[in-house]
Amino acid sequence: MTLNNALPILELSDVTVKYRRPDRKFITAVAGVNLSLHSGEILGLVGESGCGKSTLGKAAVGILPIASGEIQFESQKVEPLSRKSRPLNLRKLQLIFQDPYSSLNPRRKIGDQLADGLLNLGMKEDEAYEKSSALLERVGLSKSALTRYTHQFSGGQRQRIAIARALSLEPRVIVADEPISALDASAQAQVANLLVELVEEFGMGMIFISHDLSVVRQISDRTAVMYLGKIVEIAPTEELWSNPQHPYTKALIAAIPKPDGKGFMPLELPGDVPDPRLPPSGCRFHPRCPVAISQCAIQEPQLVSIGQRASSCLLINELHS
Amino acid sequence: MSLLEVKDLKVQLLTKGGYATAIDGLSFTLDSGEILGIAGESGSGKTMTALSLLGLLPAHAKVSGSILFNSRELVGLNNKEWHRIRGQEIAMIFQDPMTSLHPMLTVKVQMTEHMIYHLGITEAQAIKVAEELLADVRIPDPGKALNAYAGQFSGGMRQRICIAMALACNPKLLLADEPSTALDVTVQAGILTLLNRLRSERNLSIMFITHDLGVLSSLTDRLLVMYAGREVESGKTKTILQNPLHPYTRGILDSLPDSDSGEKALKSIAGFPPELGKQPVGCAFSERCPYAVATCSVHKISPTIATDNHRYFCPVGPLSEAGIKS
Amino acid sequence: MSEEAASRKAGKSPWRQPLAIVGISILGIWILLAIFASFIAPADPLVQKFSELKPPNMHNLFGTDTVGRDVLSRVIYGARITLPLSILLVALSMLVGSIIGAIAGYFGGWVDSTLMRFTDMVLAFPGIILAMAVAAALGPQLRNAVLAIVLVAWPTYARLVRGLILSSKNSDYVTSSRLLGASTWRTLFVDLRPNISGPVFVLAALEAGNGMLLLSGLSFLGLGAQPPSAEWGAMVSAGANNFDKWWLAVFPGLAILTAVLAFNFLGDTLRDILDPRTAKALRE
Repeated sequence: MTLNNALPILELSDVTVKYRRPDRKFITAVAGVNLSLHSGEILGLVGESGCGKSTLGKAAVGILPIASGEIQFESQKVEPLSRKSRPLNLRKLQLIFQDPYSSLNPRRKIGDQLADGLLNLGMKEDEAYEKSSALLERVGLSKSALTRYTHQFSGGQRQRIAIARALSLEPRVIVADEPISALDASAQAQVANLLVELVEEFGMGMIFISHDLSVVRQISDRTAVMYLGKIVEIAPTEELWSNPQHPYTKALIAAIPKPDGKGFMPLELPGDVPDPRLPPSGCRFHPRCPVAISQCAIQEPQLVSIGQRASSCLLINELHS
Repeated sequence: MSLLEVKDLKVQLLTKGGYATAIDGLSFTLDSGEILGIAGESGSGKTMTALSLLGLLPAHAKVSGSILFNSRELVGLNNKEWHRIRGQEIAMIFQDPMTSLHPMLTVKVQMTEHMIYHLGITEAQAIKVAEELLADVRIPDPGKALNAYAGQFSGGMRQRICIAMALACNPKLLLADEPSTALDVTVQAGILTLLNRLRSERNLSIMFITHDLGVLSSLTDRLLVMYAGREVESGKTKTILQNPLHPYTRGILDSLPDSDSGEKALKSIAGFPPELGKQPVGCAFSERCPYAVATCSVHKISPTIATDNHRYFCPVGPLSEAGIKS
Repeated sequence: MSEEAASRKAGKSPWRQPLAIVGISILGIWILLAIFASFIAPADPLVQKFSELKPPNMHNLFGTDTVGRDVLSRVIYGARITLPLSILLVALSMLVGSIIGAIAGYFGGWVDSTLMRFTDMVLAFPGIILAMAVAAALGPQLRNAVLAIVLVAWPTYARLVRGLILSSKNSDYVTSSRLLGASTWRTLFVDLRPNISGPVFVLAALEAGNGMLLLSGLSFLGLGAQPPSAEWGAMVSAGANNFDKWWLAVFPGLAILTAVLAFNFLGDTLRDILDPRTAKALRE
């Protein structure tokens, strides 16, 4: 795994994403997030329901518009999808969806869907289909799939087809939004391993979004932890696990049950995730934080970097300043 | 005398190709205050096992064998007799709390309805009991919660309400089918802690079904590993997880993500379980088993009992500590 | 979890249902009659023999009308008018309605609001009244009757297509296509069209019967086919004035009945095939 430490291939600066709920109130799903991704690295993005990780993933690719901030892909601004066809350079920024049952058109042949991106570039039909054939083989499916329809494939196979489709334009960055959550155990391993192989083979950058912390721990180089729309900690994966700094990261890790037969009960984190319409003042985690001080309710902590790590906690940042 | 004694339970379901065996001769016991884990992948028959204990199998299902609950035989009960058992003696919670709770009825109605039916108490009494139960499962502001609807609660809260509902008539046995699988990990920890506490406070027996070995490790006292409708290994949870004797158990333990290995690749057991009803007479796992020999799939496997009531079904022999067949 | 097998061999094809067989047979017969009318019909439908008003007999199986024309031949030749026109009418309404519905559904915003208000306005009028008004305004001609009916029938398609587009335009597969560079045109025609063509054709088959009735109705009222045209509705109209000469109205009436029924059966079958749940049940 070679990290191109020079320039990040995808950079999110102070990105905020809002959306309107059916009751017409605005929710800030992502609040001022800074994130950078380099070629050849897998960045794991974890967090629990409502933390905004999927929203962030979709915004990073341009599926959702951002309310403020900037997203740069290969030093060019990422515009959200509009009526016009996507600019050529942005087509190298792709996303894999969570649900393999809705990410492919059930009424079109697989081959047609794989050839889409290439045909949009003006490639000749036979060339496009030949390339699609090669893509299928790369993800471990036979050429015969070209003429079949999605309902003839299992969840794991569909996800691999979706990956092949995303690969058709030789992307530089793939955002994988919970790509294995909807699959059964063996398919999960296959798809995750495929993604890891592809990152290495093509030197892509990948953001791997998941709620399954153990899988993220295994495959990602760096891990970012989100809570209620903010990144609370980001560090090289093993360091995050062996030495978590932010109280929420610690709570998250302590809550994972271990299959060691020792019978220890995982630690529960009291309270509930607050209503995203009314996030707590100051540090968003402070009502549930075991070490919160009075200042935490007043001042919102910034994500401060120390070497390769960063965390947003007043206590930690004070410790290091 | 165990609270629950299942002997040679066999369940056949009607499919397009005729009757297929979903559960093939399952036997296990469960004592008062004990938590038994049922582990297995989807299709192993674990949910069917729970449904058999509540008489909730499809009408066309053929059930044989014996299920002794509190010395009472449950196989062959008619619907009226099952009504007295369900909800009152044996209760169940499910994976998706959103679909276990009625979206249009208040929590109060859902919780009091079966109490009034089973216990013959008045509505006012039932409401009081419901409020206490909600407090017991740590729902904040139980009085207000009673008048709310399911949609107003988070997933974890809804599951707590389901647990409260299940315990309303003081059942002796609680069946839990993947109750925390759909929940966030911190919320899951809360549910596991809750169930553990309820077990000690009420001497409640729990049959906890899940594929998640971590959850089974923290909560359960004993473990039953199922594959294709049959038991492959059972015994104390600690013993099985630290010293698995069956290749399938070993296989699923090995498939757990292991970052200590330094590799990024995830492992899994190659192949797929047999289709419903297509298990061989012999070992159903043999076609995927790295240690299988030709005779494995031919003859019916009888259990081998190792120390400490640790039982496994493998004709080749136990896995040694190093994971290699002896 | 076992792999999903390739689709099981279909037990009984959904086309083998009794309704489907009957529907297709009837339509098939009418189409054949229409094409080969000149060979099958015993007489020329336009030849008149004055004062030879005869009930059904050996020579004229359906009798003759007030000016001596053979009713059987007129019924057979009538198929040449009613059938193609009904199909044309359905095709035009489908085209107009789908385009309007697709634009409204895909672009949304004020385009959607404007188009939908317009659609609602047209829908608010009772169909036959509006058709009558338009046909009368344009002049009593078969061509104008068809136009009038298209004007009345397109909103149903527009609503259907708009709904289908709304529900699919934000699906993941459409988003993936857009990420790969699909243009609006391509999204509509390549990704979304397969989702709408099925339900639209079902609607068309079910509406064909309706359209045929409207066409015959307008002709009955004198606003469509003009004499001496052997259009079924016009024939019924002529027969309605001579109730005791029952064969004048009954046979063309039966023709309309069977054709409309056939279209309805066809529509029901198409709908059953398309609805995944009933399609599955049909296959087992």
